[in-house]
Amino acid sequence: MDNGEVISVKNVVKVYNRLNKKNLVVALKGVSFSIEKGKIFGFLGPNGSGKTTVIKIILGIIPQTSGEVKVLNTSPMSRESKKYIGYLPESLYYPDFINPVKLLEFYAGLYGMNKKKTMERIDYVLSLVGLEDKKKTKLREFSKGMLQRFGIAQAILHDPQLYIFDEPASGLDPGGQRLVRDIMIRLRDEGKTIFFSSHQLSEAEMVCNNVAIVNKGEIITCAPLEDLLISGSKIDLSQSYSIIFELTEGKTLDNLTSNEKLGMLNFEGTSHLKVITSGKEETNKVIKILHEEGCNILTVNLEKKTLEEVFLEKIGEINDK
Amino acid sequence: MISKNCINVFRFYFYEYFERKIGYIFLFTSAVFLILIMSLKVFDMNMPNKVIIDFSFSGIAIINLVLAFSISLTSVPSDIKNRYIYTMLSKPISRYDYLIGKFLSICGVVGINIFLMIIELLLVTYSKEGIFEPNIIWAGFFVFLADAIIIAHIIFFSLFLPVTVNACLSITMVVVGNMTPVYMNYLSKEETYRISYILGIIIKVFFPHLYYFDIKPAAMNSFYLPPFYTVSTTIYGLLYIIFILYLACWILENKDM
Ligand SMILES: Nc1ncnc2c1ncn2[C@@H]1O[C@H](COP(=O)(O)OP(=O)(O)O)[C@@H](O)[C@H]1O
Ligand SMILES: [Mg+2]
Repeated sequence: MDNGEVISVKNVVKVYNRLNKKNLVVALKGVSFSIEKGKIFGFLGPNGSGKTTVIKIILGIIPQTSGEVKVLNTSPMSRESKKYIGYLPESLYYPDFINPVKLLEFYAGLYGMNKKKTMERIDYVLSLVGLEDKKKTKLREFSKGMLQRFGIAQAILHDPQLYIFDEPASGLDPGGQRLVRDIMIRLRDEGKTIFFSSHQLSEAEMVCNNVAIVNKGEIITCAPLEDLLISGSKIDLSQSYSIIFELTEGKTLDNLTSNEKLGMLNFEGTSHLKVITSGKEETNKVIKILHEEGCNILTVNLEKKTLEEVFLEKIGEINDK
Repeated sequence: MISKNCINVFRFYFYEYFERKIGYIFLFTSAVFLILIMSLKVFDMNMPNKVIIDFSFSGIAIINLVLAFSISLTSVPSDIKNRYIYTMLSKPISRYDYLIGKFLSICGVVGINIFLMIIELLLVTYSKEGIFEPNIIWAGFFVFLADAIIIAHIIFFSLFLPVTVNACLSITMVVVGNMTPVYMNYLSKEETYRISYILGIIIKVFFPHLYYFDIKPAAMNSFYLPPFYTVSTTIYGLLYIIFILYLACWILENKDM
């Protein structure tokens, strides 16, 4: 960790062995990235793109076919390094005939935590995820969202250095998603490192320092989040603007769309209308026409790309090739 | 060989089986079993202990075989299927700890059940003739060892075979493993058929010799059990189990999950 790298993945290829060799699945085709200490790293990609596969390799659950992986400066297969890693699985299954406290006690035992620390940490993590009043409830009576919260609790139970969250927001309501974000930010502020996978981009946008976009087993981009969003919003001729305006009394939207020059555009909303234009020229033209039609212009903004747009764009580029 | 985390896994799953009520179902069976052997005694006062022991050991063998099959067939495959195994292996335990811990926990449930049944049998036979038959304990222990071999086998097969195939293969193994000497005698007479001779060798080498563990006649008739026999059979059983579990660990290490 002297060079600040908590995870380093170089040229990793993973081919899943099936019994019939004709059906080999190439899940990763040479993936490289590294994660620095104290950062939140978002690993984004559509379903089946290989996110969980990368996580399984980082955790030493499966070996890579080729390439090099280092986690906390050792091999992921090392048992020692696992003491410093907390993993939130994608699946929501836990032994469910027992209550969360019993299960957490078992996990704490595997980390060699003593009785006193175990009980303290269990109290702490269960209240952190809002399950403090479910201590006596068997896990089979938990809802999906509660199981996901439990998953987070078990991942942070032993206060590890590195957190690996596989789709942390899935199955959670907006309140739960917010909780997950808050927990991730809090952990980062404590100097912990977080690697998480997601196909929900809005989630990544709010917390990530760095982002890698993966598709079909290949990393398409890997950069600091800001770079990605700004590289999409260089002020160029094709840049989009959003104009928000209101209609004057007696005018309807039909009056506007009947105007030949505005007919091509898409208007959204009812009382406050929004229209997206592309390029400086078109924008100025539209503003002028709207004035002539007697509309009140409220705001004109440069459209900042969302991660989702960057994502779809990048994946689109690859698929077009 | 058995690490701390292996014991942790064992304790946890053992506890979980009881929470799952699997344990209780079989505690219930052994209660029914007790009532049955008691009633044998009540209905026919002349029924000798020999018959009670014979009957009881058949019951113990079948009930615990069903118990062993029902828990171990899906134990590891369900963890792989619902991906809980990822969660387990992300903790600082080796695959060895995980597998051996699971194995021990199933053995624990079966062992407790056999233990209870043997105690019942000892009480019933003692109350009838006032004789304490130590061979019953050995016979019970050997039923347990044989079941442990079968559990290890089922876990081993379950790492690469579907449940149904595993069940068929394991039942075949139990049947063939118990009648190997009969079969071998038969084969040795059929010298003309090379193929059956080879088959015999295969069975002898690759199937566990479960008939070693069947010492019911010794318990029924109070035969003298040479210590050499009990010790060597125990060692055979333990070595066999270690060998199979070692293979199973190797497969789990190299399995894509
Ligand atoms: N155990 C496995 N055996 C064979 N193929 C697998 C296995 N796990 C995943 N795959 C395949 O690898 C690819 C990537 O899967 P995964 O890493 O789970 O994607 P993601 O997590 O991004 O949705 C998929 O095509 C999937 O079918
Ligand atoms: Mg996944």
